[in-house]
Amino acid sequence: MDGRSILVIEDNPDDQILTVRALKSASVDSPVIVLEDGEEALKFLFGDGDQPSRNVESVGVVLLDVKLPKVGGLEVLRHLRSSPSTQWLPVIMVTSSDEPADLLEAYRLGANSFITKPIDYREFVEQMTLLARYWLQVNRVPNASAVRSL
Amino acid sequence: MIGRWRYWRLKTKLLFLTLFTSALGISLVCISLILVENQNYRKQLESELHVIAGILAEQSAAALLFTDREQLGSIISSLKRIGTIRQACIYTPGGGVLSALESQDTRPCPDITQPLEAGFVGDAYQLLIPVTLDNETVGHLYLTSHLDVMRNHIRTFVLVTIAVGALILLALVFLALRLQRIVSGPILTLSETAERIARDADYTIRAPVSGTDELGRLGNTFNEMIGTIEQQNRRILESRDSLERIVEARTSELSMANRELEAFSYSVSHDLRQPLRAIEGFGQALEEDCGEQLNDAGKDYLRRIRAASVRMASLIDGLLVLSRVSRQPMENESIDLTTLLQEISDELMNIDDSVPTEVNIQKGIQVVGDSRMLRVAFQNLLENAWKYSARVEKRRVDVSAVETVSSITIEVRDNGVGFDMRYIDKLFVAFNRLHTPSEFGGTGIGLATVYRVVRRHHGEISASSEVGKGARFDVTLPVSRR
Amino acid sequence: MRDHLKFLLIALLQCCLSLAPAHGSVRSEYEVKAAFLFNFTRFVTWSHAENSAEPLEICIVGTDPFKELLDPIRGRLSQGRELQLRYPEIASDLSGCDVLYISESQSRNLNLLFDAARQQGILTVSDLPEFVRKGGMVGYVKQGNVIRFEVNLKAATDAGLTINSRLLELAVRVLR
Repeated sequence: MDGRSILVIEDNPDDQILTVRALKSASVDSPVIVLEDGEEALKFLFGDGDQPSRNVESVGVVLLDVKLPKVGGLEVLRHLRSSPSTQWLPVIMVTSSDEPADLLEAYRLGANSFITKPIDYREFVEQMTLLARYWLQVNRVPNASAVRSL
Repeated sequence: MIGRWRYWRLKTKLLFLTLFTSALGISLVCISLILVENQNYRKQLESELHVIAGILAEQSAAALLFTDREQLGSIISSLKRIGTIRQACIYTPGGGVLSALESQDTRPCPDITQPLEAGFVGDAYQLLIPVTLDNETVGHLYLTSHLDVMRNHIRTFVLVTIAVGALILLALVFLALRLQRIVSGPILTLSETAERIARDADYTIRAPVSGTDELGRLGNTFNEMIGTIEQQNRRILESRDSLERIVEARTSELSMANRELEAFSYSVSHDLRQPLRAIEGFGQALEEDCGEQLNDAGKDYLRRIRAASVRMASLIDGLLVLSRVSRQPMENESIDLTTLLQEISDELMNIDDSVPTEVNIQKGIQVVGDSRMLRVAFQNLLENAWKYSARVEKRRVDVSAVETVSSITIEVRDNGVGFDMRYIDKLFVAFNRLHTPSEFGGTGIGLATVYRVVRRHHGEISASSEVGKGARFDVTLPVSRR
Repeated sequence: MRDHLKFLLIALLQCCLSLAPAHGSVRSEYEVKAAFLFNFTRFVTWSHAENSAEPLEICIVGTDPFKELLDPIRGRLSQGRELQLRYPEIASDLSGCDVLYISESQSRNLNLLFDAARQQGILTVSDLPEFVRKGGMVGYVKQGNVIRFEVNLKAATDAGLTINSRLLELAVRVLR
């Protein structure tokens, strides 16, 4: 791992704990940043203005919950995809159901993948394992400078 | 020609009838006139000849008595002036001819000792009268006249009658052509109006009515009828409009209810699951991180908590499926059920192959319906078959289908524990279970879902079983496309 | 014409059979005259004979040339009157006669007979030559083989007799 962190945006405190624990069980070493809602997430990534904050470069992958208060998950996704600095940021949507409508909308907006939050915790851990293998080890975020030259 | 009477136009029929009766009448009159004239003429001829004969007889009585041939001759020759007399003979009482008319084309005097046919004989009229003096027959007078004049007269009469008749008939043709319009006019107008109304479906049109005869009454009745149709149409449209409004209202109510249900399901799917997730998640975490600190009882309680949350999760899933099956719009298509069932049974065998299983699915079962819903339904049925035959030595599941003209019945059979037929009424009711949780786990929603799917396909489901000998479920689906 | 002759022969035969069975096919002169005599009476009207029931007397005076030839007409009806024959001897015995046949033997008594006839209204008939010129009313004449007659209408009218025009038509000569 190249030291970048996993940004988890999740409103429910229980789910926050469980997600972090699942990552640990899946042997993911990267640091995990947990944010509570979409507003905080945007502030973290973009700062107060439209200026991208330096936090962006420290993030390796975003685990974005679909259902967030204030600014919703899909809204955050839209912001991420519309800003050039975060365009290439891998975003994995986290849903608690597999309603086709949600998934389609997410993919349309540019989500890279999704996982569900099943009741069976073991499943969740398995999925996290898969996630870690691909998104954190195989996938590399291109250089920020390389993005700007495009 | 008469055979095609039906196909004639009204005008032609009326014309034909009028002219036929007129012609018949005129012909009959002409014929009777001709006959009467003929009779009269004959009578006249007869009486004329009789008069002539009488006069002649009276004149020649004396000459006969005195056998004065000269006198007789001169008497008879006076007949020469009457061109029609062919012969006149005067006989003595013994039958001898004393005198006769001598001219170019005379006939011989007949022998009056033989019986003589008097009257119209052949093409002549002949008569024989006695010449008397003081009531004593002193001789006989024979007279014969040809009928050419009479014939000519009759012929002329016939021709004139025919000519007059024909002229009258011709005049009648014109008259009839005019007059038939009086009758056929209103009828044609009415017929045209009816055609127009039928063609344009315009029930505001009314037929013009004139007169108070049967045609007038027909016209009025017809108009009344059209008026009634118009009124009824309006009422139908009104009621249809009001029905449509009702339907709209209901539809909007329904769609509102549906949306509420959707929102409810969505909420259930997300919000209800979260606490369950927490229970299960922290339960596992507790087990993993603090398991050594628990005694056996604690571990047992924890296990039960986790099991309960899993059960609740599957209940919620089942309910969500049931609700989706009820509200989702159906997308009907032709489905190869054999393939679907094979997939499901393969999945089930993958999940649990602890019991040796034989599965026989009839080939080529085709149904029409919503593939997602049917998958859910048959998945439930096959899962049940698997679940309730988990304890047999060799599991056997058979699926067969029987087709009729209007439907197809799919039979799913297993050799599991079966159920008590006494409780068959509760079989498809949600949350009702026919086995205790210690016998078999389950939510009690599965068969309710199957029932809901089958009903939405306008089909029927029935079940039969013998405890210990397995169960059989029959699903009947209609074949015709909707 | 041949037929006519044939018929005539047969007719005459039948006539003879009916009228005079004794004689042959042709009628004798006095047969015809007898028939004529009878027929004359049918065309004469006597002024005094209004009672038509009275018998009609034919008187033959002089030698009777007819003899039995008059038998057929005896008893026959002429104008409803029964014919009777009388043979008076003398001229004075003529009362009751309607018709007087004057035979040849009485040629000298003609005027006497004529007077009597005129007075008593008797029709005088004879076959004396020039009978009607002499004053007789109906006289037989012979034209070849045909018996015909003449009529003195004046003499008849003087005697109060009316002679039917039909008879006059047939007469050879009518003296008025």
